[in-house]
Amino acid sequence: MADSGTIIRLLVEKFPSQVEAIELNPKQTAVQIDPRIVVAFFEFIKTHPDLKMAYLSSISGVDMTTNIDIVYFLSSIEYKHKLTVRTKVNRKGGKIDTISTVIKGANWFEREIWELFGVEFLGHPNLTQFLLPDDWDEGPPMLRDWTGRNFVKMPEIGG
Amino acid sequence: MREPAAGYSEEFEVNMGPQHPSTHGVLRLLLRMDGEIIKNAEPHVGYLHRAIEKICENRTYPQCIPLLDRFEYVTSMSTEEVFCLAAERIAAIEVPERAEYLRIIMLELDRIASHLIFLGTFSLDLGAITPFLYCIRERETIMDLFEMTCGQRLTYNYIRVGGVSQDIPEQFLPLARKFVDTFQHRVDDYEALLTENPIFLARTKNVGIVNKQVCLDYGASGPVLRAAGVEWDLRRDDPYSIYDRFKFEIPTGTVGDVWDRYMVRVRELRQSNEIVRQALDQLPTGDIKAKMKPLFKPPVGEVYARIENSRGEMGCHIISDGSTKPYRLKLRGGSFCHTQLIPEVAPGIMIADLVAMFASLDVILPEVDR
Repeated sequence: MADSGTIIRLLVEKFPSQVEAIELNPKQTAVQIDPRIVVAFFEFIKTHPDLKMAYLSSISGVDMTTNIDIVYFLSSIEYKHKLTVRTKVNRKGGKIDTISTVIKGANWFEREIWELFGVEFLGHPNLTQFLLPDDWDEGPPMLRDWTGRNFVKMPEIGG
Repeated sequence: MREPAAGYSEEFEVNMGPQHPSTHGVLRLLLRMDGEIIKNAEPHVGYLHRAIEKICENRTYPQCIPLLDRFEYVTSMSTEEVFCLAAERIAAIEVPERAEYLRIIMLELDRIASHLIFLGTFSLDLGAITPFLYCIRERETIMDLFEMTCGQRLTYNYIRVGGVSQDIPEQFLPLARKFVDTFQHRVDDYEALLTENPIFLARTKNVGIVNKQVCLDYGASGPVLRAAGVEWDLRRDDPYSIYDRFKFEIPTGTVGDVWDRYMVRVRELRQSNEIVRQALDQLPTGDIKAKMKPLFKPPVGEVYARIENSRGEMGCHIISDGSTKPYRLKLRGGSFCHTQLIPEVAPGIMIADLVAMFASLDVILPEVDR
């Protein structure tokens, strides 16, 4: 099992200017990466003999209002260490390469983010209607400023 | 895998679901068939999409919990646990001892209840009706235990941020002990009905194989992954709560066929039962909820918490902006990945075997659609 420092050192050595460590909480090792290197990055952490992070827990899309963050959660079944990877794409017409060519399980997670946040995954095999109804025409609903379908903002409690 | 007879077949499409007794919820599978052999299977999901993640962004943390019960209603305790675990990590809340033990007892009883539902419906799908009746009988006792504790039999709203909602009543412990003592013999009964039954073996041995490589590629977890021979259980490999205090084994299979997945779950029933027994023996006295301000307002932060529930890894990604509502809440369930791998393993098997394979994955659709 590689500790947090070793993982980050390996990654920063390989991608010196495109990867930087970020602080989330003590239980999670996290890095911020340049969106242009996603495919090479995941290829590297999957195949490197000291990392072997091939198990993808989840991919979240997050609307940060200035841009959309894509957050990947990975772990290694062999070594039992884990890594959180964050990257940013544009909020309007955001594009990023798919990692489903590297980790097949990313397919549906990316499809979901495409549908709910409007981020396009270049090279994705199947970006088609997924969770929303077939006739959905109200735009990506998970954006923070989305209003539609009688969506009512609940008042803040307690101030 | 069977090759179709040459020259006599023509491919056609079959629509299986969304309303189909063996799709456990509302899954639609578009099957491309050659005779009785599947050429291609394409899952269509989303019939149960309720926008839980979107609604939670608009609710306070305590208000999220009853809604999250609907995310994975067969094991609601685990959805509550993963959400509270994430919220507690952001706010750095220490849960009192007794509450941790109560949570473990409830979580493991819930795992047993969920595996019983699996065992019952799985054998129904294979044409055996008796095991279902037996399973529901034992599950009833667990439901009674939950009902006397929190008043609910399905969507409990019991585990809260910082602890649990209320202490167990007096009659809980005797009934739970009686259940734990008899349950292992009940598992023997299920096994006597199924495990070595020749018809059951013919339907399950070397059928619907989900091998190790497919599991690892698609992020399969829980019993599906363990049946393929990978010893991976978050209760041991990424410990949370107080699981490090209990002794339990992690059952694994060898090839990852339907029988292996069945067997892993049956052996897990026994392990969960042992965990409940240990937790009942060690149950301390004390508070059941951490001292907190009435208004739960975690600091700015981000966390991904994950637990092992009966279907695999259940994860919860919370981003807090310091207000009373989560800025972003993302849920991850085992079923999501297990539904995704169907197109990979379905080609080459027959419809009847697809039913057996799908039932043995133990997918529930609300967890996929959210």
